[in-house]
Amino acid sequence: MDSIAGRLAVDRPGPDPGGDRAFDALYRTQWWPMLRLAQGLVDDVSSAEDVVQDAFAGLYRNPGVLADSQASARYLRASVVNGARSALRRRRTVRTWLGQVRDSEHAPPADEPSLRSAGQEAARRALAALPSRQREVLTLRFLADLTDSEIADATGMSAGHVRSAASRGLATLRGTLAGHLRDTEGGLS
Amino acid sequence: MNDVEIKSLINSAVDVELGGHRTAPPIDRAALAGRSGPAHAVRLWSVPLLAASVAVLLAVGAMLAITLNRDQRSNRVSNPAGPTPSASLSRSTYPDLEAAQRAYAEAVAGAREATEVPGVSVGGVSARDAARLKDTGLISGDISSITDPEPGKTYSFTLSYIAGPSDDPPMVLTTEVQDVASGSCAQPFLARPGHSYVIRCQAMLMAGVTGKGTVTLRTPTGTMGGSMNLTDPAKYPASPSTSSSPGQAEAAREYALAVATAPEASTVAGVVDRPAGPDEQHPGDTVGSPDIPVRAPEPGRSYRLTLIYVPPQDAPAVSVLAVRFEDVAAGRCAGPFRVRPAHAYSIRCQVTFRAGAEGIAYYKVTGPHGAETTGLSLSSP
Repeated sequence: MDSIAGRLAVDRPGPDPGGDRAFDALYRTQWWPMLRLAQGLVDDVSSAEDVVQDAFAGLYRNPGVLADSQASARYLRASVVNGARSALRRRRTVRTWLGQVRDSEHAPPADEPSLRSAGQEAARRALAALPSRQREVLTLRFLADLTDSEIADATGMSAGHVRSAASRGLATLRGTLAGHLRDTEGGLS
Repeated sequence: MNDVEIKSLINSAVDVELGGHRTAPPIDRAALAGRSGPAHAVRLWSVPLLAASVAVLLAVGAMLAITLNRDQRSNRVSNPAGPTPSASLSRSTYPDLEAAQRAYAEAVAGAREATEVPGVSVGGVSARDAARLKDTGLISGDISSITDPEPGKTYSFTLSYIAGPSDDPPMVLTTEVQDVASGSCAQPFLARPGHSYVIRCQAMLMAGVTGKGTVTLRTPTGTMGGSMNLTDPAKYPASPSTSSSPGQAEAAREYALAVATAPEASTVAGVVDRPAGPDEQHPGDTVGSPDIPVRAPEPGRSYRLTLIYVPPQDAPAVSVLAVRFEDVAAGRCAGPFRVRPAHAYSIRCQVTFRAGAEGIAYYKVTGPHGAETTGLSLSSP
């Protein structure tokens, strides 16, 4: 029996063969950059993969967007940002109403902390601690190498807001990481 | 520390976190088309569907009042002095608040926003309903499409839930069909106060069995919900020629429940659903993994594994696969999820071995005629 989702999807027109080729090419070149971007935003591989799959699924059903490679890349970035916001909102819902519920079944792999250096760990924590808009802006700048106007396009913020968020976020990051560096050096001496 | 160094740290940290995920999974267009995608994907039909459902709702009159206690805000397990629920209302609370909260947390983490779930329409609440419901909710259903039920035929119907305006937390709304040969509803989603939801379901009925559509709402203090009959037992008697044995009926019931609750593989994080290659399809199941056997596993260390499952060529159109571990210290896999012939599934798992034990992965496949389990050894000395 077809699922409801499957039946709805079949009713929608799919891309033409030319669109399929464009989609394949885009998928090959953009999957990894989008996964990195999503991971930077949600900090969880499973969620990141989910967000990226959703973004490509949405693109696949939009042959009009697929015809333009630049529009496709913009669509994917915006979809990843929106998907990440949605995933983080669900996490926040849990934390808002229940506080931090610890669950050993969802603990990260035992060897994961040892794979990241102390500096990398500190940088990720400092980035995660930033307000959401600052975190999004810096993640798009660092992991996707986007300009301020491209970041504004992906996030729906104004270019001025992007610049101020980046400036404030960077100042906070520098301060946090400098403090971490002092602590580390103090601990070693 | 300058900006370039910060950028380099963050980039390298993300690369480490992603580890071995650099290769894009193969494209499965069927899975992509069936995936929910962005929120606007289901809005096109939502307005007429909502309007039709509300109109029929009054005619059908299959309404169950749900009372949502204000104790959700105060996080008390129960409120004996609160409003009395209707006779059809079922309510269960966990023996301890922590367990209820953990279950709620897991449910919220696994639920999507309603606008992202195919088969769910979201609307507002009229001023009249808002005044009438306040901090209560209303469950109803439209089963008018099932006018002359026949066993083996699939029927579509809708369940509805209207949440009154309140400052209660969002609930996780789950819909399913019970006592049917097979069927499914939309995936669980977050139901927020002050919204109305119409959920599409479908079911294949069994002869002589009154199928049910159920709505369950999970809150931080427990669950509540109601169910409605999909057919009138008096108008739908058992047919001796099509009745099944108790064992078959039990298997069919288990299968129906498994299919109704399991999501599509393409929507499960950690599962890659792709077309099976010609050399992968056999008359029997194919189970295995490129990562195993793990040679001389270190006890207590967490290993990531990818398990493979390819259904047999003659498998039912839909089965449900669940993978569990035995003889290990700890282990879990993505799933359960629906599987179909001519597809191959890669399932991400994580396992911690126990000293002196090889560890076994069991693939349990639930089909219309029962469940079959296949074991696979994970390690070699």
